[in-house]
This record gives sequence, C-alpha cells and structure tokens, in this order.
Amino acid sequence: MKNEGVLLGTAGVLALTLLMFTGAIAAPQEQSADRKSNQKTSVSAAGSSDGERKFATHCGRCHNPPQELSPKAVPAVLRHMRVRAMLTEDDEKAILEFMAP
Amino acid sequence: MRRLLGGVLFIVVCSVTLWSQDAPVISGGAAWVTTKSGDATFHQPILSPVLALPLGSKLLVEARGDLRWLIARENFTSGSYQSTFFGTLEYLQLDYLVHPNLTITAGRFLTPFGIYNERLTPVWIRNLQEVPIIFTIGTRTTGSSDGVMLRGAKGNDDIQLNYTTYFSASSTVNKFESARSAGFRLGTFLPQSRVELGLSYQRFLQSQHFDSYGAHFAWQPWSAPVDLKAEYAHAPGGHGYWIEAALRDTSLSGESILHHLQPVARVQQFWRIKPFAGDSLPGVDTQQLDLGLNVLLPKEVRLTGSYGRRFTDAVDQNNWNIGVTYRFLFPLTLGGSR
Repeated sequence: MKNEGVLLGTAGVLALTLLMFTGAIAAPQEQSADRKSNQKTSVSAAGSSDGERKFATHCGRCHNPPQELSPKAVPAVLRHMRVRAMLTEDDEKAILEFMAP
Repeated sequence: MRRLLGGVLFIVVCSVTLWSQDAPVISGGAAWVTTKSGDATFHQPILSPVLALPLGSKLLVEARGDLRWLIARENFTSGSYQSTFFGTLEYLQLDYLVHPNLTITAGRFLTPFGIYNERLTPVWIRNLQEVPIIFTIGTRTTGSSDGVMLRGAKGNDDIQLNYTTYFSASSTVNKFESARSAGFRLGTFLPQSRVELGLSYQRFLQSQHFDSYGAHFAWQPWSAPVDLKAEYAHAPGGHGYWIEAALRDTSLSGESILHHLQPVARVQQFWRIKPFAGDSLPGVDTQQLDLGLNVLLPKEVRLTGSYGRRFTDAVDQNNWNIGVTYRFLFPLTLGGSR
C-alpha cells in the first residue's frame, strides 16, 4: 500500500495529460460546435449520412474500424453486433444501408 | 472434442442449406503473445475464430472458440520448454430476434457482467492483453453461461437504454462448463456524447449463494480520439476497479499518425475483504499500473506491447507483454443476396 499515492497520482496525471493533449477538455460550446465537423471528418468522404454517423457513433466504441470489409459480410456482422453491442434495430438498419447499400 | 466439432459442423451444414439471404461470416483474431511475469516467461499462440450465421431474418447462430498453446519452461523459470494446449468454446448460441426490443438467446453465451467479458475480450480488440484483476467477479466460473438470456435495446439519437437478463444452469460437460447463476445488466448510452453507463448484478447459485454487482462507464468524446473505459465490481471476497485510457482514432481516413499509434494506460486497485474459495482474485490488496503502446499496421495487423507494475504488501512484480495480433473477417460466399 506504500505506493498507493504514487500509483493514483501517476494514473491521474496520465489521464489528465492524455485528455489535455488531445483537447478533450474543451468548453461545452466548443465541443458542440466541433462535434458536427468531427463527425464529418471521421468517416469516409462519401458524405455524412445517417448511417455514417451511426457507424462512427457505435462501432468505434470497442474497436477500430475494419480496413477492408466485403459488403457480403456486412449483414451477418451487423446482426452479430446488434446482439453483442446492443445496437437498436434502427441503428442496425442505418449502418447496414451505409456499409452495404 | 470430436463430438463438439461434429456438432458444430452439423449445425453449419444444416444451416447453410436453410439460410435465405445473408452470407455467414467467419471472423476472429489470431495472435502471438509473449509475457514475462516476474521471472517467468511464457508464450501463447492464440487462434480465436468466430462464426456468425444468419438464418432468415430473425435468427442468428453465433459461436466463438479460443484455441491457445501455453509454451513455457518446465518450471516456468528453468527446464526445457513445454507446450500445453487449451481449447475453449466461449459461446455457441442461437439468437432469436423476436422484436425490435427483444432478443432471446439460448445455448452457451458469454456471461453478461460489465462490458469487458462480452465486448473487450477478443485478442484483436483488447488494448492490453492482460485481463483486469476483477475480471472474474460476476463471470464465475468460466466466463460463459449455459442457459437462456433475454436482451434488447431501445432509444433514439439522444438516449438509448439496454437490458440483459439471464439464467444459467450448472454444467460439468466437457467444453460446456458453467455455474448455476442468474443476473441482469442495465445500461444507457448517450449517442450525442458517446457516454455509456451501466449496472450489473449476478446471483451465484452453486454450493455457495452470494451476490456480485458492478458498474461500468465508457466515453469516447467526439472532440478527441480518446477512449476511456472503467469498471467497478464487488463480490464477497473483494472489490476493485480499473480505469483505462487509450488514444483511438476512429476515423476511416487514416491520415493522422494517431491512427496508427495507440498509447494506453490502465490503473487498477483491488481490496481483499476476506478469503473466498475459488474466486480467482488476488489474496491480498493489489494495485497495478499498466502502460502500453499498440502499433496498427496495414492488413489488420497490430503490434502490442505493455509494461505493468503490480504492487502488493507481499511483493511487487513487473509484467511485460509483447505480441502481434491479426484480425480476419470474410464471408462464406456459397450464397447470399448481398
């Protein structure tokens, strides 16, 4: 237990540094304004559809986006993720439309 | 094992003849992980295949195995190298999507407690290869349950609610070992801010009857490529938490260097309340700090490395991990409309 303070302090500093470094600690209005632009830049250049937005919202919560994904695989993957990651049916359909139109 | 493989093959063959529209998918991860824990070094080649087999528009068969070899010296620090194989069936379940807000699952499934067991265990997903100290709380005895589960999600673009409840029977059948237990998890997700909160509960109903409960939190702010996750869990033998922060650029463009580099930090604390047989938790109060760096390469290859320092009243210990993971995913294109 002698290292408890050091450990917690280190962790706190690391977390804070990480957040500050990446600009996560921003004024609420800045976050709000940035969000839309980030949503557009964080997905492909094909435009900002509902499906793209939901892809960015949900899929990155646990893993990096796939580098390559056959459209034939998308329906099974999304049904799998609907169960695994608790996607709503609407979100599943929107992402499906985006990834395998 | 042969019966198991035969059963899986039978299900696959039957299902292939029945599916009407969507191609089944084989995915998963392969990895090589080398760990130096204290003075002991061991290597683990790992293959973790996943099958997702849609049947019609309402059914899905899912299965995941974990095949790994533990290669270590005879006495971990001395002697000749020996290899031991471990094969695990983590889930083999049938999902029936009854309603937009209800899915009924039957079979063997990952015990839903917190977020780590269900969503973060694949070798190609986890930011640090070592599981959290409190991982066994709420997931005893194997991390998998045999029984029935109900789950679903409902919401809109502002707020989503999700639930999971299950009952598991006790099983000593080879590859299907599980404990008699019941539990639930409730969660909420705020898509606008990508914040997720949830609570978990499990009643263990084997020879010992006791409660485990926990809470989880996740946040991926839109304004930064940061991934924050945390869990707290409590069991009669002890309680603890972990907090993990990682850089994660979820963009598809890949222009930023952060898209390829992923620093990770995780802090954990565990407090032993009393000795409790079979809980697989540290015998004494424990703290651990892990720092890692993952390098994302083309073709779904990722290099992983981490250093961890575990602090206890008894002894402090260094843990090193290096490895490489590969994620694969391809459709079985015997048919399917897409």
